Parts: sequence; structure tokens; C-alpha cells
Amino acid sequence: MSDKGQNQGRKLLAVFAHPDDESFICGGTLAKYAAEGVDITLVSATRGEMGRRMGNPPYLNRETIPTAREQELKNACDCLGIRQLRFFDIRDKTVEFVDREALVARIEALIRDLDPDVMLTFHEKLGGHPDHCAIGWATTEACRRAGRLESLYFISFGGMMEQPERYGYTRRDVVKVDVSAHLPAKLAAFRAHRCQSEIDEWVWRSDREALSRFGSHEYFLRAAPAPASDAAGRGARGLF
Amino acid sequence: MQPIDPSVIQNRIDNLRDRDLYIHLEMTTGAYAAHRDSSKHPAATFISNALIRFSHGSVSGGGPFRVGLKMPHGWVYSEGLTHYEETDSERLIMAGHDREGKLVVALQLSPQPF
Ligand SMILES: [Zn+2]
Repeated sequence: MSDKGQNQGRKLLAVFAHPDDESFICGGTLAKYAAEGVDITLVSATRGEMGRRMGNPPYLNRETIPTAREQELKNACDCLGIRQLRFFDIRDKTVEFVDREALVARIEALIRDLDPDVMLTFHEKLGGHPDHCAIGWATTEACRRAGRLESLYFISFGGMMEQPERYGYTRRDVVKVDVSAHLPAKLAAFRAHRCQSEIDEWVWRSDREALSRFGSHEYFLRAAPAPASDAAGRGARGLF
Repeated sequence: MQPIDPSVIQNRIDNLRDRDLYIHLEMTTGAYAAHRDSSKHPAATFISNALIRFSHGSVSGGGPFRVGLKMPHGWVYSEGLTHYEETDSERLIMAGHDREGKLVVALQLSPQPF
């Protein structure tokens, strides 16, 4: 599963809402696939410019935070091995209010252009933040229109999908990725998002102590039911 | 950002009187509050780049500070301001941060759109 180069030529598209979504939620998985040679394209719909964390004492303000968070995301991408980064330039907090058709069309065009093997986004109901749910809905709709729903997976927070029944799903809907070998990259990405992570004291303790806070697995929900023939849990083009 | 010095802010406010200004006014308790604790009531509101004009304004309080701006037909009011951007001379950028440094309130005025 971790032979370098085994996934050479494969492509992953992740469509999220804010800088840090990629690192804080599924940084281990992205680092793992990047290390295996997967070409990852990350879309951040916004620059997270309406975030409340601005340093303590504050060293950012509403006008300086967009550039700072863009740079932090670029640094985090370097830590994780993500080579392509795109912004949709939507203002933070307003993803659910932009023209939905235009947003879906934009994502659908990106899917058709990149032809990724796997796509990641937020679950439209379990996203936990209005921007997350809105970008998740739009990406799911775009995948459906492109006929690629079977390649789409929803990211999930921490261990919430250890009990998928609580959310109306079964174990067959869940894909569990072992990220234990890639936690140092995930920690580096956490630290790259300095203005967001510096309030969390554990991130800045010794590497050993900070790494112990991470789970060894990250969990994903299938957007489409697993095909019956897919005993190993991996689709024809799938990485998972 | 620097802790608010009321005399500096009063001076800045006086210099912005009687002219068209773009305002960014915001208050937020954080969208994640309810995600982590369902008893919390998340609230956030902002207005960005509305055009206003005020005839007089002042800063008051002993910190956190309040600012009131008298407009032809109403008021702009903001409470809980703690910091301002000292490097920005054209625009007046103020914010209120809680003990963890998180932004709670912002009041910004500029002759040009933000
Ligand atoms: Zn987010």
C-alpha cells in the first residue's frame, strides 16, 4: 500500500472550503497519496478571510488575513506534497449564497478537464460549517453531472465514522485509511497554518507529544455504494 | 495591530468626518461554536463596503472601547474594540479580540472600498 511510485500517474482532486480543511481533517491521507506519486489538485473555495483566529496578541486584521492564509496554505501544500493549488476567490462565509449553478458548472468543468481518479469533498449535511456543506453539495452535484459519483468520497472529522450507524451509514460505506506513517507531514502542515493552529498548545509541544494526539487512521464515506465486485474495497480507478 | 490608544483613535475619527466612507462592520461568535457544543448559539453578522458619512464621532470607555458615529439619519455603534492597525494611515481598522486573541468585533472605515 505504500510502495513509492505505485500510484504514479494517478490523480486526486480535493475540493474544500477553507485553507486548513485539507490539513486538519485529512492531511495524513493527502500526504500518503502524494508520497505514493499521486498528483493532487486542491481547490480552496475561499481564503478563510473571515476566520476569528488572528494571532494572540493579534498580528493580523481583516485586510491582511487573506494573503497570510493563502501563504500558509501554500506552505502546508509543500508539507503534504500537494503540487496544484487553486482558489475560487469566494468570500469566506458566503459559499452557500453564491450562484449555485455557476459554482457547480465550474467544478464540473474542472472534473472534466483534470479527469481525476479520486475526488474528495465535504458531506453536504455532515460538513459541520455552512461553507463546508455548500462546497460539498456543489461538488457532489458536479460529480453526479459528470457521471463520476463512484469516484467521490466525503471527508469526515476524527473518529466520527468509527460508528457510521450513528449517521445512518454502514461499515461498507466507510473507507479507513492508515496514515500512521505520514503523521509527521500532517503535523508540519498543522504548524504551517500558524495563525489557526498556534492557539492549540499541543501542536507546538515536542514532535513526539504532538504526534501522539493524531489518530492512526482517517475515515471517508463513499458517495456511491461500494460495487458488489469490489471485495478489496477499491474501485477500478480507485485509490481507496 | 496595537492596543487602542483612545487619543490616537479620536484623532483618526475626526479626520474622517464629513466625507463618503466605506464601512466594514462585523460581529461574530464563531461558526464552529455549535459544531462543538450544541448548547451554543452561533451568531455572526457583517456588512462590507456600505457607503456611510458621519458628522461627528467619538471613542469612549476605558478598554475595551466603544465607538459611536453620528450619521445624517442614524448611528454606527460598536462595543468591545481592543486593537487598531497602526501601520494603516488612510484607513481606520479596529477590532475587538477576546482573551484567546479571537476576533469578536470589527469596525473599519476607508475612503476606498476594502
Ligand atoms: Zn473549514
